[in-house]
Amino acid sequence: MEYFDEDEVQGRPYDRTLMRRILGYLRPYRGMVVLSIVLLLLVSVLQLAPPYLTKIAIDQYLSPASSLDIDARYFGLLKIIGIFVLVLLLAFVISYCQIYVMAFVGQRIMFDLRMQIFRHLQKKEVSYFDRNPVGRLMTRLTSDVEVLNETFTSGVVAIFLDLFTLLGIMIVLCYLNLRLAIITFTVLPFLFVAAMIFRARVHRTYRSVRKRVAAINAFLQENITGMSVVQIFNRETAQYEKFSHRNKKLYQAHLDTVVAYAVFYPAIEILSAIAIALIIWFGGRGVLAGAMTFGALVAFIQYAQRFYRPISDLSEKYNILQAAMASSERIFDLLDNEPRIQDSRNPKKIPTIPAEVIFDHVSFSYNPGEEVLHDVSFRVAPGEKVAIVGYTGAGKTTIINLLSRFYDVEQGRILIDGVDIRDFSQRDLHRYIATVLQDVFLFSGDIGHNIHLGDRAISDAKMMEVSRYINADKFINKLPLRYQETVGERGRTLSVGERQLLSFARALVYEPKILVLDEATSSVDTDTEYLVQDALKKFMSGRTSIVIAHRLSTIRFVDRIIVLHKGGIIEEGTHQELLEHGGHYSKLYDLQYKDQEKEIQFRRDAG
Amino acid sequence: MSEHESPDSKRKKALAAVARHLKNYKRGLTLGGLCLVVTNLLMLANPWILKVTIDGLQAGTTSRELLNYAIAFVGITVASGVFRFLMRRIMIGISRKIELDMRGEYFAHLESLSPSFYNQHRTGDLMALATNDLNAVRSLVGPGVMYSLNTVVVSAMTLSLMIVLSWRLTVVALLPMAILAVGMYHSMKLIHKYFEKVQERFGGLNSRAQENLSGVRVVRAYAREDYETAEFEKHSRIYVDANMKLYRIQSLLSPLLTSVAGLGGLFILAYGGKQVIDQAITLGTLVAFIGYMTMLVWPMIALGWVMNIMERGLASMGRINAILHTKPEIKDDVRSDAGGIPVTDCSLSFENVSFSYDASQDRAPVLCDISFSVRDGETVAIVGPTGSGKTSLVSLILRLYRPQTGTILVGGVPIEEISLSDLRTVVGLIPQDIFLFSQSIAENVAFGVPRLEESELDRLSRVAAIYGEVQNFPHKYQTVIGERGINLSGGQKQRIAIARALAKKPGILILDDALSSVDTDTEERILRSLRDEMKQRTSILISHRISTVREADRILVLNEGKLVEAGTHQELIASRGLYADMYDKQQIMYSLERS
Repeated sequence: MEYFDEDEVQGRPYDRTLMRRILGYLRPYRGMVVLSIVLLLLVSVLQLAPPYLTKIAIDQYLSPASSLDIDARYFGLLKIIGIFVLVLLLAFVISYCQIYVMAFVGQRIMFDLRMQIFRHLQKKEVSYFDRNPVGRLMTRLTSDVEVLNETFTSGVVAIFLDLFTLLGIMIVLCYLNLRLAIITFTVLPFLFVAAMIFRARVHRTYRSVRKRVAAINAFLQENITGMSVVQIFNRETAQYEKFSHRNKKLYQAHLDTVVAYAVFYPAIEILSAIAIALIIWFGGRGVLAGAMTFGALVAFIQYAQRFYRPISDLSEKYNILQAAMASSERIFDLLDNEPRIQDSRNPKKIPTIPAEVIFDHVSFSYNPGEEVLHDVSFRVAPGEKVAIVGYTGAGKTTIINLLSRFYDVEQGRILIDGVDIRDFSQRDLHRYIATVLQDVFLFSGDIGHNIHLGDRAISDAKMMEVSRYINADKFINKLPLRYQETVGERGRTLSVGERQLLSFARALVYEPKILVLDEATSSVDTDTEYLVQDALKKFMSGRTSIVIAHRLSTIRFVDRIIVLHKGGIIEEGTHQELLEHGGHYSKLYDLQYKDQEKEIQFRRDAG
Repeated sequence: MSEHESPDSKRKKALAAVARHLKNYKRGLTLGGLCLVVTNLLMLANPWILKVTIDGLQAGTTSRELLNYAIAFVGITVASGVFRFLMRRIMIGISRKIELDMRGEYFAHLESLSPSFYNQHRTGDLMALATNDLNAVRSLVGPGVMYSLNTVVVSAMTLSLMIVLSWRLTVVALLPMAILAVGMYHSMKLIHKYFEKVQERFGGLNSRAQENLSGVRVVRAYAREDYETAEFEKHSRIYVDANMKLYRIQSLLSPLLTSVAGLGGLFILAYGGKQVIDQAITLGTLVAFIGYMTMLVWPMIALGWVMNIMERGLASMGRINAILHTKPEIKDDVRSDAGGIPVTDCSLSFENVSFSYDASQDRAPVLCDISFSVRDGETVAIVGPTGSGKTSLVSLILRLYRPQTGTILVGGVPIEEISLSDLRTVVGLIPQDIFLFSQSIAENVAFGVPRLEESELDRLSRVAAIYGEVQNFPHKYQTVIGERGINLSGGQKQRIAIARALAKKPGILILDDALSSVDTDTEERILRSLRDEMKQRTSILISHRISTVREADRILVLNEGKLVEAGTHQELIASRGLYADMYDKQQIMYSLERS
């Protein structure tokens, strides 16, 4: 999956602290990294061997100046060939091992990093996921991690190969002929200057390209999102012009990069040609003067030709590093973002009996200055069933979010059996309270998995018993594979009512002591509706329950109703009491529940 | 769409599309190709110079001649460098130009596609096409084309020269190539197999993570974090295993290529060395041969790389094609030069219009046999519960969608006979979901018109009741909206959208629940000032709030896609139908809100 998001496009220059942190991931594998570098060293030595072998062959056996007889020359050549074969074979095996070892290290690091990110995300507070779309987080887990891998496998390590090769060539040249080597090296400073200029140039153009890519992508994204506005206002041509303008600016920036590369490669080639020309001139005269052998001359030329490759490679590596900087920064940003909701250091033991719940002067806001709950206090006795009702925006869902500690209260506290819920570990709290949300989220596994959620402690017998009790087995038994039936993507194959029953089973199988439920608003067909209502009653009985009620049957069933209005409690009592009181609740009843009464009446009449 | 096409014909079409773009730059590419040939020709001279130098040294050359060789060597490289520069500049430059063309073409095509297309395609996917896929195609037409041409030219030239030097030695030098071909063939097959496995595992890992992140509330609510982490770790592990299996083979490729090149050199040394000893060839020839072999190595390595670029580029081109070949559902049916029938009066009527978003599904249509008409200058309101089809109805007036049956007439003319731009100039819509661009407020208000006078801007913002707030913004009308500027509330956005729609002076004004995010007092105020604007033109007011619509000349009530009631507020209240019921409920709602 390719997911586009805006922070995708920002380039980042080389950053030392960032690089150090990236390299830190190599630490657990330093043995293998060292091995890999040693192997690389061997590879570069072996790769340097063929020209030298050619030199020996020429000087000792091929040159007309050779004093050996024909047979000895044949034999000598054969010997060289034998060594040559050995070198090739060794180089093949060693470089294979080196690549494989490094691939292994890269994969392990990606694994570590992915797990680190995933573990971190498991600790993040729920509101973090409201702010960060899933697609963006997925990009961190996949492509960003992948980019970092490339840095290790083809970036960092390959730089060593280039450096070794350069160094090796220099040593061999000095060994062959020190004077000629020094003459050849006079080109080196120019080579480095050229590379430096190129690097600076590419760095600059890279930044301007990135900036313009960001501009054009932001424009494109905005216009795709608002395309119907563009069309309604007849702005196709005008927006196209604007797009075209940005497009052309990007093209210009790209051309600058093209020119930089187009100059760089020939420049390197010319410099290396100058080196070879120097070898021809000085080396040739050396041969004429008998100060140098043919073979040495040929080897010199061959080595000089190999000189420029590592240098242009090193410049390319720089680009890989830049991409890695951007990715790693995004990953580290994520990892450095500490979870806002944390367990207390010495969590208290959670009670094992149905407990009382107390909201004690609780205030809360999602956005600063927009208080959603204001000074809310209420008590739910052990085993009591309480419904919370209220007009849209009254703060009902927030009560659930706070009790489940998806968010932390700003003022006041929430107590379970007299203990602040922040003093429990989140894990204990969540096992203790079953939260059933309005939208039933289904995982793509089978029905059974969606009930036990992978908890091996829950036996199949238990799962089936609960399903039967909660009326879910009726539809499950109709499925061809029953509990092994795979749930389609997001449970499309199941009806709303069936999904609700499934979510009840899921909650009940964990034997919660407190039930927190956001009743679904969407209507369900009559048969299932009856099953859902019945299940709900069974579910709540004997359990401390707080339910955001949307069903008439629920508000009639509960012990007490709390009426929430604009973030505060304005009425409390039983259904009958509140109706008789004739206040806010009775209006709400007229608005939200009365129709259900009519419907029930209608069904009764019809049925 | 091309989903049912065979991969083969898809590939052919992608190739044709690439060829079409390349053809536009025939002259440039020819020139670039010429530079490529020249630069390689010049580079061929260098090993030859070395050969002459070596042979000359053996025969006892003068240092004057040596100097000539050295100068020639540099001179030729400089000349070749110039052509290499031109080659890159021209050929890679053209690929950037093609990228420019294609991006423009893509955007222009997107502009022609109607909302139903955007309902089916996610913005992220469309963006990916314009970024990743376009980039892959760019690599194909740039480096892909250049390096494949380079490989062909260099191999052909080098080989023919090698044959001229010694055909026996050439055959010997190329022997390892056969080994390479066989080795490559087998490992490629394995790689393909393992790669598919890797992709499959990657998909598994991906959906595992995606599900965990989407279902974060359930995971938290049931304390399943440890289990989820263990599951993810399991998937992660088998993904790594699959990758390592792939690497076991893939790690062979690069050493294989290097060894084959080395083997070529070895064979030359062995066979050529023997010939030098036998005095069948000169030492210079052998050295030149080794030089040419070195020149062959790079194109060989590039070959695998180029093939990869080609494959990826063609696959991306196919994906882009799928979008480019999507025909706009709604086009100007009238030729633009004819301009269609001009709109003279702004009456509107629906005649037996039925519509559903997806005609193939046998769900109840969104709109069912709707007929009504609105006189020029009349204000008509449409009310109805959520999902009754109000928004769909107005989208049809603007031809954002096409009704399956029935006719919609503006000024007595069927809208298909009016040019799209005329129709959309006449009809001004303030949609339910407000979309503003991240530009200044002034630019947003003037979005639909070429230019807007400052005085008109003032007037419009007063009508839309946004004037006072804008004056308090840091840069007034020049304040930028969105991430780079200020964030507006829903109500502020709606009011700017009202000013934006009024700016183009539409003959027919449609407000689709455009005041839902402002409180009732502000709504009251806006409606009062809008009333003057509405008097001058045909207006359609959509709302679920009775307070918004009660003063309309006529009110239509929609329910489940059908027109169920029509009349003035008083008439509808008296008839005690759906409208009266909604009215009662809203009375309760207001009292709840106010309490």
